[in-house]
Amino acid sequence: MIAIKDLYFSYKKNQPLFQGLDLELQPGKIYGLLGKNGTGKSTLLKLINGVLFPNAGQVGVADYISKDRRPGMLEQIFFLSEEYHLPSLTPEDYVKAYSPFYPKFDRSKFEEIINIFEVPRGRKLSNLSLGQKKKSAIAFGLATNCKYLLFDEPTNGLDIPSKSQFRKVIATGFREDQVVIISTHQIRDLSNLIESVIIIEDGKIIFSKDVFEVEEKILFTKSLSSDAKSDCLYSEMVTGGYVHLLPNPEKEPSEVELEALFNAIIYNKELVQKLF
Amino acid sequence: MDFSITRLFNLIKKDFIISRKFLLLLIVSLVAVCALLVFFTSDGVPMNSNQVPPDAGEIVFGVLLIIGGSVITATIFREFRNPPERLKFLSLPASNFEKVFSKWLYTLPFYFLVVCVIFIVGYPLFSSLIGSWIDVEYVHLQELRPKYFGYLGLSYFLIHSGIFMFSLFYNRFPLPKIIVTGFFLAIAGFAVIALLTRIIFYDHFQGFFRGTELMFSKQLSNDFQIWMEMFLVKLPYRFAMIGVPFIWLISYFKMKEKEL
Repeated sequence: MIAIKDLYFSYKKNQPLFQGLDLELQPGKIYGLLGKNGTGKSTLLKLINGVLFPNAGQVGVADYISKDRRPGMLEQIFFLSEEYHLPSLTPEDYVKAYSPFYPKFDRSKFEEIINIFEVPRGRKLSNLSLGQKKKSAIAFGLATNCKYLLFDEPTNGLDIPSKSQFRKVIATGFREDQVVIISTHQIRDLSNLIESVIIIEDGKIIFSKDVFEVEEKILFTKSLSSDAKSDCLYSEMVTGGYVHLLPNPEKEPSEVELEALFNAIIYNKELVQKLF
Repeated sequence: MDFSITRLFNLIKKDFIISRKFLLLLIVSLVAVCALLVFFTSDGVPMNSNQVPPDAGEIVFGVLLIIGGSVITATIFREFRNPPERLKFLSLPASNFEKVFSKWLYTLPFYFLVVCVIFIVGYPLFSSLIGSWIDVEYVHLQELRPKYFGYLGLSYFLIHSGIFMFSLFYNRFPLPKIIVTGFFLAIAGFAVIALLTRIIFYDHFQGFFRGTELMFSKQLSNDFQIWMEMFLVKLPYRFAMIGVPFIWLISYFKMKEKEL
């Protein structure tokens, strides 16, 4: 479990990023961490990973305090940041160098994912394209079999087939004891994957709900017209019409549109939150 | 403090896999520098003689150990030079102690051993080759003065601790920053020594300037003067025993508080 209690953090004095942030992330879920630019999504992942320290409060991963960076904690976390470093090694040498640090590393899983992603074998990682580098890093991360997988914008730089391969690989390899956090702006790429939505705004978590709960409370409908019912929570134009978010007292099934949900919460927070 | 031999071994293995080309280049460079130094020390041959002064070996060893070692130590935390590499290093599953200790091992015992081997093999080889080429005679390896090599080893031990600590403080361009820091620290140190000298030898000064040869003040007792002389002789050894481990401790805590 990841437990964040009363977290305060700022890069500069008088510019607080988090002010008393509380969050608890349970195993067995894939979390989507959403927020506008500069709201601190990447910073939150870095705080969980222990590479940034809170000004006050605590970030706990399993039984560890993340800022201590104890090996027992670090070998359970794999963090793929938006900007990452890959040394001038072939994938095989990279695995030789880094896999011994991860006790549950599965070499065959790495090979399998590398094959799925069609990453060239003999070439050095530093000479690969941006997308191929990212695929290699994702393959390594998933092969570590870490309990906590933190991905910051994992689909940036991936081509269209690779995005769906990424979803497939995560979904099939996901275990019930794992916590996966995906911070992204590209919600559409990952909408089928995310099981729980966390939205950060103004240094706080303003929304944290499971997708099935959202589905129960909000009805997502599409129409060609912008005219919406009087109780409509939010509407926005999408390709081929409009999507409307309505209260769902009858618990009618509908497909959750994460992008519309995010916008609804950002622009009509109170109204949406009243439903939960 | 977490420590595991397996993780330490994994760190060393990882660094070896990543830096094997650099290591090879380093060893080749050290051998080449050793050859060049042996050649240039022949410049100190006095007139009407072909005997290279006995300090040639000490110069070669000293430059390889102290100058080379200082450069390597200053840049040993290469992972800190940019945020992605820093992130990778800090989140690598090994303890802060293991990470610092592995770098300490490379720059102190391992480097010392490498320089010793290069010197023991390279000095006799290059001195005989260069000696026969330009017709000079170098002091044989067996005839070099071990006492001075001991001083050089001690000097590296002391200098290394400071450079190692500062290499953790500076993420980008550590070498020039450490040189500037060292320069300012040296100035501050000299200022303190000058002040103490001015106080202790006050009756030898006129204003800020020395009037007569420096001698301990007539006001100071003989016992104090003897104690002071002994203290100054033992100071480097005492610093090596107490000061250096303290600096290592600071280095460890600096690593512990290192952030992205």
